Amino acid sequence: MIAKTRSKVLMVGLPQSGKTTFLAALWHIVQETGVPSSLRLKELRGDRTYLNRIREAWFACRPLDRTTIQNEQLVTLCLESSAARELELTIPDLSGESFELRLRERRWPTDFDGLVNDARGILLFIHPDLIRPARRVDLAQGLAAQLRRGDPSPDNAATCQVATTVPPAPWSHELMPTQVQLVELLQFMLERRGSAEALRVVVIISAWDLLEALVGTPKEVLWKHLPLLWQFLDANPETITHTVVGVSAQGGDLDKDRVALLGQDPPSLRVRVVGLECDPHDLSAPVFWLLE
Amino acid sequence: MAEPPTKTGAATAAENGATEASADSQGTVEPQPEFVELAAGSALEASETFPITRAARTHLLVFAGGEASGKTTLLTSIYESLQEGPFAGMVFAGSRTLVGFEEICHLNRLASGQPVPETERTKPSDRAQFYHLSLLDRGAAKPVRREVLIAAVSGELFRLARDSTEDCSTLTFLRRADVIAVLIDGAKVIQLDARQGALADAEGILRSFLDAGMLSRNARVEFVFSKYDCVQKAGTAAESFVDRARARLLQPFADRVSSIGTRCIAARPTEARLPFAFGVNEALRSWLSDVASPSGALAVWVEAAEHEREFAKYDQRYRKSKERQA
Repeated sequence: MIAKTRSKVLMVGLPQSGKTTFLAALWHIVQETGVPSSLRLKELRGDRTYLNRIREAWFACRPLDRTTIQNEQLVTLCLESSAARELELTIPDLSGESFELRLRERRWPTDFDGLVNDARGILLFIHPDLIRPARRVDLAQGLAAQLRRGDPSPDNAATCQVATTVPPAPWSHELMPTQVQLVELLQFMLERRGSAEALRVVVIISAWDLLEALVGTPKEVLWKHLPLLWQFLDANPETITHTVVGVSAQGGDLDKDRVALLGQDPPSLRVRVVGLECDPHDLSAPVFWLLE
Repeated sequence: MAEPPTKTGAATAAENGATEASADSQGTVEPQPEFVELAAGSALEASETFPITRAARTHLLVFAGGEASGKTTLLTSIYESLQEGPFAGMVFAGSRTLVGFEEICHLNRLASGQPVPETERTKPSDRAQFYHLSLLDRGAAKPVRREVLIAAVSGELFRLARDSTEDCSTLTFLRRADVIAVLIDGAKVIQLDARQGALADAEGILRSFLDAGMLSRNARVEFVFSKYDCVQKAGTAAESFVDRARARLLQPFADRVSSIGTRCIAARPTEARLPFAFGVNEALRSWLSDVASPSGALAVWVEAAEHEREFAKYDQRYRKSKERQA
C-alpha cells in the first residue's frame, strides 16, 4: 500500500495577485487527461462546490469574483504525482485583504498560525501591474528638474525648493511598497514557524502574458522591480529555498483575447508556466516543486 | 514525502500563554487566544534589541549631532538605497524595524503629498531608539551576516549631552557603540556666521562623550560633514574651509580615541550634482568592517527591572560583563 502524504501549501499574496485564478486553472489541469502534468487528481473527495464554481468561470473566460475575507475557502485535493506518490493537498484560498489586514494589525488568527506552521511551502503571488514602488520625492524632483532644463520659458525659472505649509498626509501601512509588504509577510512566517526545515517558496509572477514580450526571465522581473524581496530571498538560503516562476493562468486578456482563449482546446493550452523545467502548460509544476 | 510533524496551532497558542485543551481542577478548558501577536516593526527600544544582540555579533552605529544635522536622513538613505539593490557590498537579509524605516522615509515619498523632500524629525526624548538591519556582507573575504543596530537620538538630547556631563553620562548605550559618527551640518558650514559654531558643536559633543568616559577605547569615531552638495555648490572657498576643518578636528582627539577620521557625505543631495547617498556607500562599508566589540563581550544584555531607565540598564549589563571577565 502506498503511503499517503498530507501536505499543506499556502497561497500568499496581496489583493488581485492571481491566487484564485491559479487555483481554478489548477483544478482543471490536474483533471485534464492527455496533457503532461506533474500532479493529477487521484480521486474526488469532499465538497468541490467552490472549486467547480471557480473553474466554470475560468472555462468561460469570465473574471473571477474577488475572494473576500467573508468567502475564504479551504480546499483539499487528493492527488498523485507522476511517480505514483499519493498526496492530499490542502490549500487555503485566502483573500488578499486578509494579508493586508495582518500587515496593518500586526496579528493573525491562531488557526492561520497553525497553517503557517504546518505548510510545506508557499506560493507567493505578485501581479506585475500592481507592484507599488517606493516613489521618492527627491527622484521626482530630479526628473522635473531635467525636464525644466529642457524648457527655457520664463515660467520655468522658479526653483522647486519652495517651503510648504501644506501638512503631510499621514503614513499608513497601506503606503508601504509592495516589496516591503511581501518581505514583512515572509518574516512573520519565518518567525512563527516551528519547523527546522527551510521554507520552500515559489514566487509566482502572475499575468505573465503581460510581460512575456517585454522582459527576460521571471527572476529578472524580481530583480528589477522588487529588489528588496529579491535580496531577502537570496540572502537567506538557510531558512528559505525559493524559485521564481512566471505564470499566466488565464492565458491572455479576458477582453481582448477572449475569443482566442475560448478557442483553445484543450483549455490547458491557455496556461503558461515559465521558469521551471516542466511542460509549458503544466500549472501543477510549481506546486510539485514545493513538495519535492 | 511524509511531512515531519511541526508545531500545530495549539502548540503555538501554548507559547502565547494560552492553554488550549488544558483543564484546571474543575475541568474548565481555557480557550485559545483568537489571535497571535506579530512583531510591531517599529523602531526598537533598548530592551527590544536583546533578541538581536543575543543571537549574533551586532554592530552598533551611533549617528550623533545637533538638530537637523542630517542624522535621520543618513539613516533613511541607507534604507532607501537597499530598496534599490545591494548597497555598500551588503545584501538586505531582513529587518525587525521595517515599519519604523517606512515611517521615517514617509516625508520623502510622493504619498506624503510633500513637494520637497523632508525627513521626519526624531522626537525629543530621553530614550534612544534603534533601527535594525540584517545584512549579508558579500564584500568581505567570505560572505558574513552582519546584524546592525543604528541608534536614533534626537539632536536636542545630544545638545544636552554636550552641555552637561551628567546628561551625557545617561547615554550609556554609547559604551557599546562600534562607531560614533558625529555629523556636522554642511548647510551651516557654508554660512560665515554659523560655521565656527557648527564645528564647535561637533567638537563639544565628542569631547563631552570622552570626558564623561562614555566611549570605549575601541570605538571608531568619525566627523562626518553632511549635506556636502551644499558645500560644493558654495564654491572652492567653502570646500577649502572644510578641508582645513577636517585636519583641525582630528588633532585634539588623536590620542584619546584609537581610531578617528573624517568624511563628507550628501545623503540626499538637493540637486543632481551629486548622486543620492553620496559617500554613504563608502561610509557604511567602512563602519561595518570587522572590529572588536568595545568590551570583547558578544552581546548587550538588558534585563533590568521595568522601572529602571534604559540607559541604566545598559550600564548595569556592561558592568556585569566586565566583572565576569575579571
